[in-house]
Amino acid sequence: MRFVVVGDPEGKRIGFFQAALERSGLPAADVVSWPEFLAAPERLEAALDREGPVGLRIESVGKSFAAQRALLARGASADLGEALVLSAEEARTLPEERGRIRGLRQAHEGFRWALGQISQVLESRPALRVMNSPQAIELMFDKPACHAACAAADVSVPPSLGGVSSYEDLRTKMRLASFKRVFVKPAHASSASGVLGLATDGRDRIAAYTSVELVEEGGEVRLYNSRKIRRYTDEREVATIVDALAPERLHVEAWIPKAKLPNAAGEALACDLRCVVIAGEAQHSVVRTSKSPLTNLHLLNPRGELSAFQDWLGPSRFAELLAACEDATRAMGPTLYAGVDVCVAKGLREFAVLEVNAFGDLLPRVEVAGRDTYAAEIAAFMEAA
Amino acid sequence: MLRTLMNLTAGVGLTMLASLPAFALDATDFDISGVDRTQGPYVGTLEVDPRPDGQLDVERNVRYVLSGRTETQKGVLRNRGNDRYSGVVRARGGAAGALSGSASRAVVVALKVDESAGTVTGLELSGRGLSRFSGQAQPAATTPTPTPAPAPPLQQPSGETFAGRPIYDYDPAIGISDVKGAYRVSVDWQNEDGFEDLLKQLLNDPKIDQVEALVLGYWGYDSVDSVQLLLADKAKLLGLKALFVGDIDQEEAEISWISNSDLGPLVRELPELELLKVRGGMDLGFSGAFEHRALKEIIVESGGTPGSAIRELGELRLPNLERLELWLGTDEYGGDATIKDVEKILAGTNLPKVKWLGLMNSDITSEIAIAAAAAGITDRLEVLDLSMGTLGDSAGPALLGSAKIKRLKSLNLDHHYLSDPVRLQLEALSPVKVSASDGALDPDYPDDRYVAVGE
Repeated sequence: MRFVVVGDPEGKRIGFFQAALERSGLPAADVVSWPEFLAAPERLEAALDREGPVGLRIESVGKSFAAQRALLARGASADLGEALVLSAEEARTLPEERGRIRGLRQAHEGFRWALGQISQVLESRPALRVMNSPQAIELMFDKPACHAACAAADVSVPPSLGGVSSYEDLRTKMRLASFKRVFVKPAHASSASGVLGLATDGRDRIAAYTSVELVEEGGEVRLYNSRKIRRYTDEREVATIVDALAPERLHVEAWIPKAKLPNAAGEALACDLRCVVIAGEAQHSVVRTSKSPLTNLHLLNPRGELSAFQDWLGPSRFAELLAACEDATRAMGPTLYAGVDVCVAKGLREFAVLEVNAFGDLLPRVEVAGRDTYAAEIAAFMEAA
Repeated sequence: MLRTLMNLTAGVGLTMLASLPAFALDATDFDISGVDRTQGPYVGTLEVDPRPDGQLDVERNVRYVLSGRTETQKGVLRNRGNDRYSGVVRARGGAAGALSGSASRAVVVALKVDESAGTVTGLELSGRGLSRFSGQAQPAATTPTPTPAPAPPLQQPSGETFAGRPIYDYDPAIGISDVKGAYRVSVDWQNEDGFEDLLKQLLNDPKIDQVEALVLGYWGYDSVDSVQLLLADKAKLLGLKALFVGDIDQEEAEISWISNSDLGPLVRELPELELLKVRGGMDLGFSGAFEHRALKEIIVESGGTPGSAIRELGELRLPNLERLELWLGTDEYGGDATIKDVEKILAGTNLPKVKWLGLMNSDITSEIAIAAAAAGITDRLEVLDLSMGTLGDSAGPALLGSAKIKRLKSLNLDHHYLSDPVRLQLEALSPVKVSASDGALDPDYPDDRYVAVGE
């Protein structure tokens, strides 16, 4: 079995996957980089045509700016209205600005186009097997649809306000639904990019927690991602951020008060669980803790102790949590794996699936039965052959 | 809808009527007809029939209330993707179990089994609203082996502790099941109006007078007159040893938005109270200038504690208080205390046994440090905690030159605005154990100083 991967050849994920292939006694995968594939999808066909039975793996686009440019260029033909920020030509020559949040939806359209191309390849090659189907990946990259799919499958998710068109619309919908605290998420962003935790007292006080840095210069509004969580209490600034993100499509969910896991130092930190489900089973898990309302791993939060978390929840509730992760993954359709984020509400009576991540399996050095996520995925894929 | 009921029958194991005849439900028999949810009381039991492969996917996260025996249990009803469960419902004639759960999930809210007629009717709550179902209950082919009598419903603790005790979120349907626990009253963001009712129910629980630790959690943003409610039942609280007012964390509300109240009138009526913990400084008070002989520990966490509350605290005569942790906060959030407001505490005349004093999270930490270095109370302290505040170099000479400070066991200055030279001198203040981590000074903006928790 030989693998072809569409991914970021420079990224850590490919490195871990190749290492897992080697340990499994399999040949190294051929990698078609995202910029290559987006420029010339036939490159994938060529890689698939080389000898041997082949498995296909679709990986994260990664952080390369070349890939971002290519996605934006491919997305430029979509009918996006205000969310169309660059022409294809502008996208191709876009100067790199670190951390700038721009064209999330346009880039997503480019990504969708690419997934469509891969679907066609799969249709034309019935013998070709793919780890995660393009359809499932697309669903996982559409937060409103992903939320709806989970809810439809009886997976506990935070109640949603649906989409909002502006800050004013957000506050109106919050008022009507009696939601005082919400998470506002761009529909097509990964990790904590562009996410705001908005706390209000139902009247005039607000506080927004976000990694977004707002820069206003000469009437121009620019948003950047940073590793620092900022707290905004000036409503005008919060409104500016939300309004700037609104054309990218926003998904709004209730902010479930997360339970706090006590640690050995006597501190209690808000926590959630990232659980990788492989072939239907919850496998590799890490607990993420944070002093801030955003617990994404990328924001350099310490990993909590899984065993402490398990003891704290008790075996039956921990099993419920894992089962919810499995159910959420199943609700995504044909996918060999997904990384599910699930939180337990304060009081430990309720829990909610917060995210289902198509590329949420990057948990370096976390092993189950001697296998990291990549090796476990390869084994499951081979077994199903 | 049908799947939900099958989940229910496969998933819930309440076994108090295990000797009654069993009925197998055939999901294909269901059709819609009426059931009146208001008809009750529902008393019943639901039991599981294992699938032929012997596997049982027992899941719980639905509250099912067996009215008539005011008990609830929480659990999850879930579908493992296999719609082929068959289940057994056991019930006394005409009895049923009633279930409720959040609307984000489809759950059965009421189930009624008529044994003689062999019918099952119920109501289902889902994201789409309330709907009805009914069906035939047929005698089971085999009677499952009786399961042992269940233990009384013991509430799951919340995973948090207070005063060394597990915190339980008070649930009127369970009642107080562990008098050694700390009972918390708090409302959900989805139902903020219920706090007073819940507190009243707790105060009317037959075992309330045995409970030694109470926690008032999230009560919404409007102030709630918990003090009056507790005072009205003060005779039941004579044994209370630990009270936490405002167990509300950042996941629920900004600390500066918590509306508190004058706790003085309540505290003086709780003769056994040893630990008082408070979070949230808005409108906080400790009026009365009374003596309290049981209090050993007071903790006030806030983004801004009013100067008046600190003065009132200083007027309390607390002959057995050993530990006082006071966050002063910032002016921006009502922490308007000046050094004069802290004088009475620093004089220490009302606090003869205090060994541990924290004047923390303050935007006047330097002034406090200078005063503390010469204060009467410092003579008897083992620990002085000036962390989380805005301590700067101006307090260096006073701290370094104080014989009182040199007699401390430890001095906590974490989160400070000291320059490196002064910090190093302080850290060398042997034999005092000095902690001065988390320096927050930005040399480019030496006057920008913030408390650690000012939100």
